Amino acid sequence: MILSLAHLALAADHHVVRPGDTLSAIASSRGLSVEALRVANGLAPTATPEAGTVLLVPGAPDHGRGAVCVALTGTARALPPGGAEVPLAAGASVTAGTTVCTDADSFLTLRLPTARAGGAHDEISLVARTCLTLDASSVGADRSSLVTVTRGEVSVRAAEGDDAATVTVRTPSGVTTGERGGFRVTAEEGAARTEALHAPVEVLGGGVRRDLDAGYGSRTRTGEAPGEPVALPPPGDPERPGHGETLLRPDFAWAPAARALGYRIELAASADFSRVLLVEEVSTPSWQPEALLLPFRVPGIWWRVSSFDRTGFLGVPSAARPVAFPPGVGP
Amino acid sequence: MPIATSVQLVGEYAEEAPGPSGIGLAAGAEARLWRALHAEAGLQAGASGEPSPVGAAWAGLRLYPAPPSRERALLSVGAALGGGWRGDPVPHAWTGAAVEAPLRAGPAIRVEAGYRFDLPGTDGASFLRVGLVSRPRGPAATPEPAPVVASTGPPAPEEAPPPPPRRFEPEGALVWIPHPWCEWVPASQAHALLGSLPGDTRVEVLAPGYLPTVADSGGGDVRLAPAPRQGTVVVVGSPGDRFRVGDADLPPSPSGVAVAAVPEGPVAVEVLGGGRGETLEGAVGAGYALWLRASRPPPVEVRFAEGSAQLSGVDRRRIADMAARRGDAGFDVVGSASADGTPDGNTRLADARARAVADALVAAGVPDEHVRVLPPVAGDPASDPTGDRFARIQLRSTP
Repeated sequence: MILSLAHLALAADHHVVRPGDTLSAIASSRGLSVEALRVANGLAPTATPEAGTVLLVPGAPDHGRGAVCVALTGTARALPPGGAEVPLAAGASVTAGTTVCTDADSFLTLRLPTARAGGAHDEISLVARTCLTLDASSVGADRSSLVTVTRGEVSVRAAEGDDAATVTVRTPSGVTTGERGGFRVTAEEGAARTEALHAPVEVLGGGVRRDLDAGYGSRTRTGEAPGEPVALPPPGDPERPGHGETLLRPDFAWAPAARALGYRIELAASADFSRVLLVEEVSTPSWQPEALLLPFRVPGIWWRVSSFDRTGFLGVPSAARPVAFPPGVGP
Repeated sequence: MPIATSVQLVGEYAEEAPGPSGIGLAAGAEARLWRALHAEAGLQAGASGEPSPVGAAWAGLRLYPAPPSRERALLSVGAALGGGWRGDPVPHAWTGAAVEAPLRAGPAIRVEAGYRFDLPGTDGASFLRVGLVSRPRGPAATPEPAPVVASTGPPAPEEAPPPPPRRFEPEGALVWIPHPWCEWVPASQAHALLGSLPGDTRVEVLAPGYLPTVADSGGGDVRLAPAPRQGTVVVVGSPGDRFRVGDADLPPSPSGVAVAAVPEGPVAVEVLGGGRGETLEGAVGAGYALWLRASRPPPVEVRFAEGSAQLSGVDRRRIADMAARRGDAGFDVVGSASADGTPDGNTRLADARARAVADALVAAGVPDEHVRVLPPVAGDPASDPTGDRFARIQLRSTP
C-alpha cells in the first residue's frame, strides 16, 4: 500500500485504487497525464498501484479553504491560480492552489485552516528561497493539508491541541506524510530529504513507503525508494548567552555535537519559532556576527541551534533560549 | 511688507540707430542675497532714447525662467520703464532706476549702475551693468473678484467669505514659496503668499520628524506624515572605548557597549580606544536594533636592540599615536628580556624596557595613573623566538 486511508483523507484530491485500475486509466479519468500522476506519488515508471492504495491527484485543489500568513520576515510573493504574482504580507490569506515563494533572507509561516475558532491548527514554516504550493486543505474530523514544495525547505510544526491532523508534503522526488507535524522536508537537486523531528512520519518514493521514527531522516531520490533511515545528529547544548541573559554582545556558543559538520543557529521572535528572524549556518560551535539586525518591537528573542552532518541531514533543534534586549534598545 | 533683494549682473549689447536712440539685447544672471540662493538667467530687450546728453529713458521686456530647482520652468514676463543719466560721448557711465511689473510676480524696483564700452569689431554699444532688485515678498495683486455665475437656485451671498487660512500640520512646518520669492517661510505665513500663486504650483513643506511633502499651492490643508520612527544601534566595543554615532558622542560605558537611538537609514559609528580608531558602517530600519562590533584592541609590541632599553624614534611615534587613540583605556606594560645572561640582569633590563614605554605613554599625554607597569618577565622563551637580539613589550588596554 502506498498511503493508508487513515493517513490521508483529502476530500478532493485523492483516488482510492480499485481492482483493475491502471495508472493510465486513473490519469485519464482525472484529466491528467500518467507522468503527472506518477511524479505526484513518487511512483517508478513501471509501478502498478495495488488496490486500496490512495493516490494523490495533482491539480485538484480544494478552493474552499486556504491558509493564513501568520508571520513574515523579509519579503515573499504569492502567485494565485490564474492570477498575477503579488507581494505577500503578514495576515494575508493564501487560497488553495496558490504558490508562495520566499525571497533571500526571508522567512514565512503559514497557518493551515482551523476547524473552529481557537482550535487546533498546523503551521508550515518556509526558510529563505523556498517555493510552496498549497494544494488542498480540509477541516473537520479528518483535518488534513497537502502542499507541494518545489524548492527550499519547509518545517511542519506539531499541531496544537489534541486534534490529530495530517499534513502531506510533496516534492518532485517524494512524498512525506505526518500525522502530527514535527517534521522537515527539503527539496534537493534530484532528491527530497525528510527529517522526522518530533513525531514519526511516512515517506513515499518509487512506489515504496517507509516509516521514519522521530529523530531519523531519509533521503528519497527521484524515482527511487526512500533511503535507509539515518539517525539525525544531536543538537549542541546552548551555552551562551544564558537563559534570559541580556544580549549585550552577540556572542553565541554551544557545546560541540557528535557527528556535526556544522551548525544552524536560528533566532526567532516567538518561542515556538513560528516567526523566524534570522538563520545562520556556521562550521564552529559559536557565532559572533560582526553585525546583527533584530526588530525590537517583538515579544522577545529566542535562539536555538541544530547541527547537520556530512550527508546534509539537519538534526533536531535544541531547546529555545530567550534573551533580553540591552537597556535603551527600543523606541 | 518684507522685501526680498537680489543682485543682478547684466551684459547688454545695443545696436544703435542713427541718432540718440537704440535697441539692445541683454543677458544676465541674478542671485538672491538672502537665505535661499539661486540664480536666474534671462533675456532682456529694450529700446532707449536720448532726449538729451544727460538723460535717457528706456523701456524693456524681460523674460526669465523660474529657479531651475522647480519642477516646472515658470516663465515670467515683465515690462520695465526707467531713466538715467548717460555721459556723452562714449565711453560713459550709466546709472538708472526702473520699476518692473512682471506678469506673474510682484512689482520690482531695480537700481543699477553700469559702464558702456565698445567691443572690438562691433558697431553697437555694449554695457555691463550691476543692479540691485528688490521685490516685496507678499502678494502683488489683490484677489480677483469672484466670477458671476448665472444660477437658478437661491441667490448667492453678495460677497463670498474669504477662504479659511490653510492649515499645516505640524504648525512649525516650513513652506518653500517658489519664484519669485524663493523663500522658506513659516507655515503660519505661507497662506498669504500661496494665494498669489497659480493653484497648481508645487510647494515643498518640511518639518522635523515628518516626511518632506510636496503639495499644490491651491490645495487644501496640508498634513505631513510622521517620519519613520527611529532604530537603535548597539555598539559593541571594548572597555574604555569612546563612541561617536553620527554627530553625537555617546557617554562612556564601562562595559564597552553603548546604545544610541538613530534615524532610519545608514549609520556610521566611530570607535576610539585601546590604541585604535575605526569607523563602523551599517544601515538600520525603523524599529530595529543593529549590533555593530568593533575590532578588539590589538596588543602592540615594541622591540629593543640587544641589551638596550632605548626606544627608537619610530616606536616613540607609534606609542604617541596609540596614546592619542586610547579612548578612556589605560595601559599595562610588561617588559621582557631573552633568556641569555644573568637572571637579575635580564629582570632589570625587562623592567627598564617597560618603564621606557610607560614613560613614553605618559609623555604622550596618558595620565600617570592610567599606566601600569607589571612585573617583568625575564627569560620568557616565548618572548623572542628568533634569539636574544630583541625583547618585546606588550601594551594592553585595560578598563
